Amino acid sequence: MKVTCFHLLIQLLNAPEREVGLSLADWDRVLRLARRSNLMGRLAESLEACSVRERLPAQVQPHMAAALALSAHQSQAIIWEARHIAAALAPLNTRVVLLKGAAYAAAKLKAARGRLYGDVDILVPEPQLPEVEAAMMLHGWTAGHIDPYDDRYYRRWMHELPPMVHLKRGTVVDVHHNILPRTARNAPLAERLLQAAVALPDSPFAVLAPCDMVVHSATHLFHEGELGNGLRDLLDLADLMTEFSMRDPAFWPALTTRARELGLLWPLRLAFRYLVQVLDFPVPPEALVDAGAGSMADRLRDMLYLPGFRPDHPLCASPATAIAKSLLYLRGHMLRMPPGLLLAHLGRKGWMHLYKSSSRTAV
Amino acid sequence: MAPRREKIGDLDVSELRDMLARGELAIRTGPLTFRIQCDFPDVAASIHSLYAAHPVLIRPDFADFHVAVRSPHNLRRWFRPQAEFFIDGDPPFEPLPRDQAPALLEWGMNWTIAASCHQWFSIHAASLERNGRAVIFPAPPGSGKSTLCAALAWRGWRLLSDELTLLDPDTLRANALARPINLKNASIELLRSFSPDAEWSPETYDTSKGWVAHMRPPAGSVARMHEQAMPRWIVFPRYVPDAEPMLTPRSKTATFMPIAENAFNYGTLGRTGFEVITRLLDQCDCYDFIYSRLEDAIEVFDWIAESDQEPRQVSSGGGT
Amino acid sequence: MTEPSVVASLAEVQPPTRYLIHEWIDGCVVFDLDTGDTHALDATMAKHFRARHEGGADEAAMPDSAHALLAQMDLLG
Repeated sequence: MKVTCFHLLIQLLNAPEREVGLSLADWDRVLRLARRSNLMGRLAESLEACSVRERLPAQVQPHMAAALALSAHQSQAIIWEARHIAAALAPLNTRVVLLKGAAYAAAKLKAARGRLYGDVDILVPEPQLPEVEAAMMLHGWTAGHIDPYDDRYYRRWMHELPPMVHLKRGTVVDVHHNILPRTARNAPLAERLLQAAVALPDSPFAVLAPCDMVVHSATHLFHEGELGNGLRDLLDLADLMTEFSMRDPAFWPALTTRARELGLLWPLRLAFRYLVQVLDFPVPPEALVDAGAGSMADRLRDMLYLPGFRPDHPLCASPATAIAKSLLYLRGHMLRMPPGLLLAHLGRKGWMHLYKSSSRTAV
Repeated sequence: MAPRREKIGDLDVSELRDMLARGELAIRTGPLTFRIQCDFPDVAASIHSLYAAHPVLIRPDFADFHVAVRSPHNLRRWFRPQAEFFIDGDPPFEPLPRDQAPALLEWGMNWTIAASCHQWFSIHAASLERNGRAVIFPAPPGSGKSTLCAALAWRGWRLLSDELTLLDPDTLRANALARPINLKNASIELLRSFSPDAEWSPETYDTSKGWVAHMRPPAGSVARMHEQAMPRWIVFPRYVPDAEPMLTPRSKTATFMPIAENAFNYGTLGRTGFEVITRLLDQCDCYDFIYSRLEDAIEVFDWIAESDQEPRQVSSGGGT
Repeated sequence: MTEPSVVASLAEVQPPTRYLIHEWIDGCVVFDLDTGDTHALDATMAKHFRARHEGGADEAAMPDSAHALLAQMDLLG
């Protein structure tokens, strides 16, 4: 039973027309999982696109309506926020590349649908960081309530400024100068990404080139410490690959070539592996071969990652999942910081977790 | 013949406690069903008392929300026990002292509705119904809205909600939850003498909130939880010691912002939120209300209900 | 990026627009579809706002406070 509802959710996301076969009890479980994995919006939009609203059980319809309202707001809000950022950075005449969710929304990609956005992520050239920060502050963003340790951590080791919070709107912008931390073993050359970035029509922004967007998404997924949104991020990857491969038949070979060029073939290989295993996604065999066949090491990593893609929910949880997740947290960090630094950082974070008040967002 | 088990009160406390511990119990409050898991006996007792008249569902196929109250897994559990609220395994806020567990369940359910139910326009306001029409009291904490709401619920008005006014964005009708009423400090004593027959949860003390208790809603309000009501009055109450009751009309333009600011999802609903409030204001009379004695308030609201007239002619809006 | 055809209440269908406006005797409320901002204007400011948007506003005769507020509302031009 525990595994079944997870698979039900995946099936429903892949083939929404199948909702007819679901019992009320099935819906109860699917909605709970979707809520916990941040997939309510996506589920609602998929069902809406198939025009099945009236066929859904009466008890389910209000939840889908609520999720649609929320995701409509989110996509609108991200565009408004992007406008405000554009207004702030226009005088600087610098290349500003939107990343992740904001990029998907601005470029009107399928991966944008049903998304619950958090921060807006932008990539700027490193030499221009101080001006960008100054311009943002001039327009009402500040460094937020950040303790000096975390602030130093961000500036010294990470690939981004500490998150900037807007005083009036409360929105958050993450300013990146690379897609991986300075300390990471395989930080790519940001200039390459910036050079290849594609300008958006009617917009001061650019987005990463299609292959770079996919590589970035995969890198982000497998370098992250917490896989809280793992399933959703995997679904994003599926959407991106589907859309880009439909536009360009040469996409698959170009993707593996580019990943190799950037020194980031490894996260792409993992992405392929889990897209196939978790989502049954049809990665072309040539691409799989090109990215490197499954090695023994990959199979060991499965034990870590596969449970990590399960939503963090009682219906899916098992002690194995919990352990896998905490190992992943450690592992994610290992990729970013030299071991000595890592211990100091984790120790401090652990203490802070117990007493610092946390803020949660709406589900 | 099998015993009737339609209401929470039909179960005996130990039965309820077991089902609650196993997560088999669900309560219907108006349009929403909450399935609850908790193994604290005081929470079971509280539910048994405060929700006695509410419909109960046992192991239902579907529940709108699955919530739980449990001990958090932190260091504190050894020297200062706490309780934490979970919605589908996710704790949205910090744990509270253990003795506040029953209140935490109420607040957690409120939060869940406010954070998730965007099928409605939701306002942090009390609402009550009379003759099919609803009065809405948007007001920040400390304005006395809960006290006023509780008093009116026992004197001729049907309780819709003490905290969450939920409006259908198409029809503007308000939904009823008819849940226990949250009261603090002096209001508790006041309402105890005002309605001596009412049932209460135990009082708990919190350094930031003071004394807190919940009052069981009147059975009539619970029985009619599926009836909606059309908003007709918006009133901003303010308790002022020794004041004579004073009801003064408010500008609608000046009422728009306080409602938007007190709404949980005004921003989320975007232009729909804007349109809902403008239509609401078109059809409602808006007032400020100052009072000190509950009996005065009852009289004034009797008068409002009896002299129900059509809203004064409003000018039309325009688009540019 | 604006929504097509916005109608606040009884106005005729208009070409793509930026603002939703709803008026009462003593003022109006405005929803800016470009920024998501909401404004409540008293009767005087409402008059200036209408004038600016229907054209024929006498900008010179407007007080500074009106200019400042209207500039703020037009933030993204």
